Amino acid sequence: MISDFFHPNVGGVENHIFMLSANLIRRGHKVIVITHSHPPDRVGVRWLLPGLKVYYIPFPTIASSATLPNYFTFLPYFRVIIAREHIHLIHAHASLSSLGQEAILHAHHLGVRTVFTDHSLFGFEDAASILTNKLLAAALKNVDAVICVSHTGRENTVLRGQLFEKSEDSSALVVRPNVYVIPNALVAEQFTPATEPVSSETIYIVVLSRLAYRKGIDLLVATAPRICSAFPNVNFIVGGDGPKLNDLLQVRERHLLQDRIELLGPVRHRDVRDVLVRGSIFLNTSLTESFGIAILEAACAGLYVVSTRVGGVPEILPHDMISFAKPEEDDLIRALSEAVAIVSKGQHDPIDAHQRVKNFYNWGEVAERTEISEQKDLWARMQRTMELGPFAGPIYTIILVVDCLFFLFLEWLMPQRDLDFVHMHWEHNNFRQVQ
Amino acid sequence: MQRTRPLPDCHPELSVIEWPSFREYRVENWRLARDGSGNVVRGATSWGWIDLCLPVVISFIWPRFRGNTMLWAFAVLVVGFTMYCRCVQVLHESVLVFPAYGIQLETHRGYPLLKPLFVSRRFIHASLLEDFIINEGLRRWNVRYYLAAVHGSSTDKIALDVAFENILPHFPVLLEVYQGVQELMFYNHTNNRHTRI
Repeated sequence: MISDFFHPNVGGVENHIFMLSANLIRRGHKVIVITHSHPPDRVGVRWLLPGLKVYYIPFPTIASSATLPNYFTFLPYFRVIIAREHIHLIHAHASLSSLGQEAILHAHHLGVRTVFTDHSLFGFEDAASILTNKLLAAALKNVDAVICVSHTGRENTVLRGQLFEKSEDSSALVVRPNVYVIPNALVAEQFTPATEPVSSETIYIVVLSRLAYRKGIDLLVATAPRICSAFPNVNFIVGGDGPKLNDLLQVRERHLLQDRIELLGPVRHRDVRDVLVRGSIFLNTSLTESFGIAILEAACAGLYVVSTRVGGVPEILPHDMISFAKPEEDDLIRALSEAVAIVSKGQHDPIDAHQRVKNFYNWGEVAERTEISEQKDLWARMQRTMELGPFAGPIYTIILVVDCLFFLFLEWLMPQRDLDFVHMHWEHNNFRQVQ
Repeated sequence: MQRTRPLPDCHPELSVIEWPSFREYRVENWRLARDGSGNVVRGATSWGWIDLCLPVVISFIWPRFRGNTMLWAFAVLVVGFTMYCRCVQVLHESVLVFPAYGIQLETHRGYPLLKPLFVSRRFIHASLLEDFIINEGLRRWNVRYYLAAVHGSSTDKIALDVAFENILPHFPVLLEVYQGVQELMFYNHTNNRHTRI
């Protein structure tokens, strides 16, 4: 697994990588993770339960844990790690992770297969998106398989990464056959509903997310005072931290809602369930969401969900457990009123909801569907890369050729036979023996 | 005093020497070439073809700069420095295990054809020694295994001292030394939870 986004940072991608690795280890595979270091001293080789080795490579980060796309500096470390660990498959995560995209570029030197998983949705019109999409298209020209976490995500990735090719009769473009949809999953046992029913006098609406622009905190700031005045028995519990925290504090002060809106600050992942079971409704106001694992966790804990109808959200839950709204104030208030009405009448049963959601997604199935495989020689790769466009094509082909030369240089400088190969690794049977 | 080589096929540079009251794990500064040819790759060289160029160079310089003291001082400095580098090459490094007393990490330096000229020793008492581990670390562009003695110090901070710091042998050698030290110093025969690939 290669990604810029891994623990000690917490988030959806990090969690996904860890849970997928843990389940693949349980199925008998050997998994290692390569990511960038975290100053001051999280550099080098570390182990995580259950037998997952993590390499923290000393690269500096530029913004929110992403490294610069320097195409060649990762090759020496990558080559040594993949060769000594006897790796056969690379799984790169997240479009913004330059480590992952570089790994796809370098993998063909060592004869390993590549898989890319995309977790987010991106636009097409602003400058950052145009650049990232071009980089993504270049990286995905030569990948063996692509996994997306929802059907909406698949459409988005296919369009951004230009993952289509001419069909046999060369009249139409068809999507490449190696693009798959495998959703995220959750550990249902960690999100059980409350054992005693919540009090029916006050209805608590829980909001748990990073307080950032793309999570729609502006929408929350606009609708919260109106809901509080329309429904005197409704209170908010807001957990999480981020740049928009100040906006929430200000709206609380302005409308004197200190006892109606409770701000919890950052909540650790193991405390999320305890926060969720205090409420009856979960509100998600994201402006873009490719899967929405938080929504799934809330539904599993027995809450009724109100969410903006964006991205892959409509695909994840049955429509009697969730109310949708357009990402605008009035529609959100309409959906929230609907939810409050349903919960006050007692029409939503938390225990029943948990039983249903428990069976929807589980990590074992995701790991099973991810056991994929699929080879191209250098000339074919160069031709595919040249198809990228009049400017990007030659640039990326030059990068590919220089990469090959750098690899040859490294073969001379540090021959593969002189590497300190890994002879012993954690054996998963040891867990079973101890149990 | 009995000397054995536990890995004679691939790593004959490791030898185990049984002294009367302690055991020494000695790794010498040479190895076999890893292409299977059986050639010896020396880490400490006694002479090279470059040494024959030195008289040739001097014979060209001598008539031209006979009177120039600065240049001669510089030349003497360079020759002196080269000779010094030749004489402090690592000959062999050892881990000495004194059961119930502690372990000692040694580095022997000198000129390859003679007995060692300089020895640096580091003794870690058994009461301070917490553990003796094989760790993996990033070193320049490479990932290497290394043996480390985890010990407390007088200031209550835990420190790591690397054994075979200059030679840095590969994993099979480290495993032999690790198993030997664990057996002698920590007495308990723990099950090895790692398995060979």
